[in-house]
Amino acid sequence: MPTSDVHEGAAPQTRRWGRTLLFVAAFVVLLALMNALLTLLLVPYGSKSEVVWKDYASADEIDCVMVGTSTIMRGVDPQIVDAELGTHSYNLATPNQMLDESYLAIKTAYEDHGISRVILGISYSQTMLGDKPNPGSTFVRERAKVVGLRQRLEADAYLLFEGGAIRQASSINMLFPWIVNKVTIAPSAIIPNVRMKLDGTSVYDAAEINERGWHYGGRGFGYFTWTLDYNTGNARPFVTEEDFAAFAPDAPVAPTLNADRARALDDIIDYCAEHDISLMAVVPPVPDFALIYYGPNYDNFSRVLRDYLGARGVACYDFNLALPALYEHDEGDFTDSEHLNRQGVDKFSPAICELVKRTEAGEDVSSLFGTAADRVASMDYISCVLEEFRTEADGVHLDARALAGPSVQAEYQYLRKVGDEWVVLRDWSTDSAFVYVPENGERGRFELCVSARKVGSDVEYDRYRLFTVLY
Amino acid sequence: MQPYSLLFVLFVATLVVVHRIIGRSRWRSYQWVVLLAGSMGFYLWSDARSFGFLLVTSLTTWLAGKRMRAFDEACDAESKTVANRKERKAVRQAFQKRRWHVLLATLILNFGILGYVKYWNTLLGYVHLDQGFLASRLLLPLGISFYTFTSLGYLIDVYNKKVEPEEDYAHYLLFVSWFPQLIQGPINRWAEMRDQLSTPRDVSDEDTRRALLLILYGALKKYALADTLVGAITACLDFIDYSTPGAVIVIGIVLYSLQQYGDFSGGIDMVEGVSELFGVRMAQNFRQPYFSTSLAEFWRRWHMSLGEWMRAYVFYPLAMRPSMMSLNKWGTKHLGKTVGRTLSACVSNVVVFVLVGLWHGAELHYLLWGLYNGVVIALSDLFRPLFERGRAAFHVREESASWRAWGIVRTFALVNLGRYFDRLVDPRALLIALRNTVCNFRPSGILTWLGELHTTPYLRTALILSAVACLMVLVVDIRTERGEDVAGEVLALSPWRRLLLYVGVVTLILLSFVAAATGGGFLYANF
Repeated sequence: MPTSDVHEGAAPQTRRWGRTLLFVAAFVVLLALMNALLTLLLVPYGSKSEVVWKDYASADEIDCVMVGTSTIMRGVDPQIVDAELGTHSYNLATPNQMLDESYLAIKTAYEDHGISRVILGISYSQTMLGDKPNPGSTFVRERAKVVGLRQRLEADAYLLFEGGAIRQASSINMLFPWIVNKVTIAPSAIIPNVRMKLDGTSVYDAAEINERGWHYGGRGFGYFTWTLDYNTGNARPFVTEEDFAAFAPDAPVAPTLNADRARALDDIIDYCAEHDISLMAVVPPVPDFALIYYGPNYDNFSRVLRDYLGARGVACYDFNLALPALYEHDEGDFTDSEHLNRQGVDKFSPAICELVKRTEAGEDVSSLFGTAADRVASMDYISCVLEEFRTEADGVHLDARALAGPSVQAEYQYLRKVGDEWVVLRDWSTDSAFVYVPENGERGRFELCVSARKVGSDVEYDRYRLFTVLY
Repeated sequence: MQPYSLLFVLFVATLVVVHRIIGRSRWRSYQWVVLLAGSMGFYLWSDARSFGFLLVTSLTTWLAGKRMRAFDEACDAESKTVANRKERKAVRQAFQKRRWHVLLATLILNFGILGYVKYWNTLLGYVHLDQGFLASRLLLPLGISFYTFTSLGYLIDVYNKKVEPEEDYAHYLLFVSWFPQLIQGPINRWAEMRDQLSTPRDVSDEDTRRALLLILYGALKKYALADTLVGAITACLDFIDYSTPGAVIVIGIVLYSLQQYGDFSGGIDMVEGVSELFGVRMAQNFRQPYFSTSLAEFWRRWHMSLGEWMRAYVFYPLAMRPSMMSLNKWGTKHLGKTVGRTLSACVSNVVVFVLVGLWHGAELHYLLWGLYNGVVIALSDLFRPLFERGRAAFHVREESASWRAWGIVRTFALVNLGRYFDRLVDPRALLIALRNTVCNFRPSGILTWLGELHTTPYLRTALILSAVACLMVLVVDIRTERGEDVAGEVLALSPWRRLLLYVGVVTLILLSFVAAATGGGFLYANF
């Protein structure tokens, strides 16, 4: 017969275990409540991904999808594509969409609708930057709301294991959606966010309220109508000449795509091949000044990308190399250094369709494309001027760069705003550099301007740029 | 493998469960095998390509230790055959020379490997050859600085006959590759770790809770205190030009000091907590360093394991060399007794800190940083009698609170001055920063800088979170400095209070990811 000692020894241990479990359970519950509260407060209502996936859930027939980043989300109108090609297309591109997410979008669309065509938007950032995918991203979270449990778990497993996110902080933070997807942490952003969630505002209206000037065109496509001001707008490209340096002809190591990104690209290609989905890759166009800014190695990058995809049986068309016979843009087609506006979409979307038609008819479309070098060489005007400055002991060292074709010789003028007037600091000169020494040891914040025009011109300026220097 | 990742959490949880189950079974004596398998798995999963380096270092140092034992046994045997005392001495000297050769060869090999993977490309960069065929394509192996120092410390202890060489390679491999120490230290000693790693251990509930609390506290320091400061530090220090007010630079440097403390000591707390889940207590690496009253004391409280390693294997051997003794004699003769007695220590200190600087990297700014610390410590040693006479003249009691407070402030200032060399990599930016700190301080510049915070998303939020975390850490550090058992006090709180505290800290840590500008990696990882 067991002694009472055994039971008495076991009982305290059991009670201890019980208390510990209760404590852990209480901790989890409290944490969940905190999580729910912060989700309500911080997770933005009416994000682009929410709009895209919510509308996707109510879409009936889909046989063609566009995937990629905001350059495609804002660049390709499914209604134009459908009118040109007779398809039922849907734009599943979202801001900062990674190739792993594009893969999930394609997979979802095939499993739900049996799509037969994919237009993949692709660019430098998607193929060269090495971030691991984030299983807590808005794209993944919003997709999870409209797919089944199996698809959700498959996506998480793909991103965690294939994508390598399991080694990253995001693998834990994915449980707390407000870490990645959040409004600005200020009452002015949080209160309206909560109000819209609770008062029945539709996600489409919320998206347009969140970003003034953005319009939802339907079928996942959203756009802006305004045009980039080349003098005062945000014209500095995100990708620079240094980024393309790895693609220089004399680079010590042969340039390749980022390994993680290449793996995700291969997954897309393999999936489409396996399921008989026609896949076409396009590099969306950028304004002329951006192409000049990318420098002489852009052609090499474009070739490496096209060769990579070509070796895997996928055609890739870089619209920065497109000749006027296929596609031509003008200055008014962009909202910034890489996104098209509504006017630009009306040219880009039909051009993609034209390519599809011609390639499906068996035509050789290589004659519709040239090189970036040739395009830049043909630019006989100043597209934009960018400033550089630094302060030294002897004054403010200024420099500027007129982004123009190589045949253009530019001259520069520096001015400073004094009161309401612009005072010339240094008159027109082909020397872009200038050291401004404020008079009488003056210190403070100076509003400056650099103007650029073609040598020989007598216009006030071709382009200018305003900037502020703290001296 | 980041500590803050699902993979690491699952890995540690699984290993702990298996370790505990084995510990309660009849295979209890093989509990160490679980630790070895876990460490091997951790390394292969994190950095399989560099596993060979770990094996080479562990094998060569282990074999060298065994060789030394073989020499000792042969020496004993041969000594017994020799009747003459003079000849016995000659035999011992001959074998000692062989032991020395083994030690030297192993040191050269392993420091050579470390030097090559860590410094070769930097040195080539100075002569513009880092893009050519001479450049190394090897990535820095995980934890190479730490396991190299750990194993060479063991070998030197064997050479000095402070420890017996380990016969079993597997046990030794576990010591070298013990996974928590690979992420960012500490540098452990064989004498302290051997039994802990190799003998079966029962970890009490209390110890488990303390370990988990230490991990949580470390995460608070790392993520909520340190990572949230990156954006502000970048804003202050990465765009320095002539117009940058010295006040903004000083703020940046102070924030950098806090970031360094939070990141490094927080990371150490996390890995020490993980180690303690297995009942293995690693070397202490931080002891409230910003409460130090001298720079020398600071370096006895900051990265303590590296300091102790340098003291044991560089400082004392160097300072006690006959040439250093001769230097002392020369100093006594020409400069007086006080200076003479201190000279060897001064020179050794400078050498140690130059090495510490270079341990961080082969760049010039690390060398300057090390030199700065070494020179300041050397000068304070040299002028100590003068300072003591000055204190006595003004009747200042060294134990008084005000003198201690002054010491803390003065030391904090000295440490931060050193941070200029540490953080400001560009020589031009460094010179401008030093100049503007003195000649262009402009406190009003802070307001302009603060006013521009609104242009940086989350920067204000980040600073607020960091301030809250900093306050919490300050309270804990003050109480720990007073000798209080803060962890014990927390664990003694009522369950509801503990619950709220834990949820609050976890929320603070999670919010830091919202505001931080980093990806979560450790500054000292891949050292």
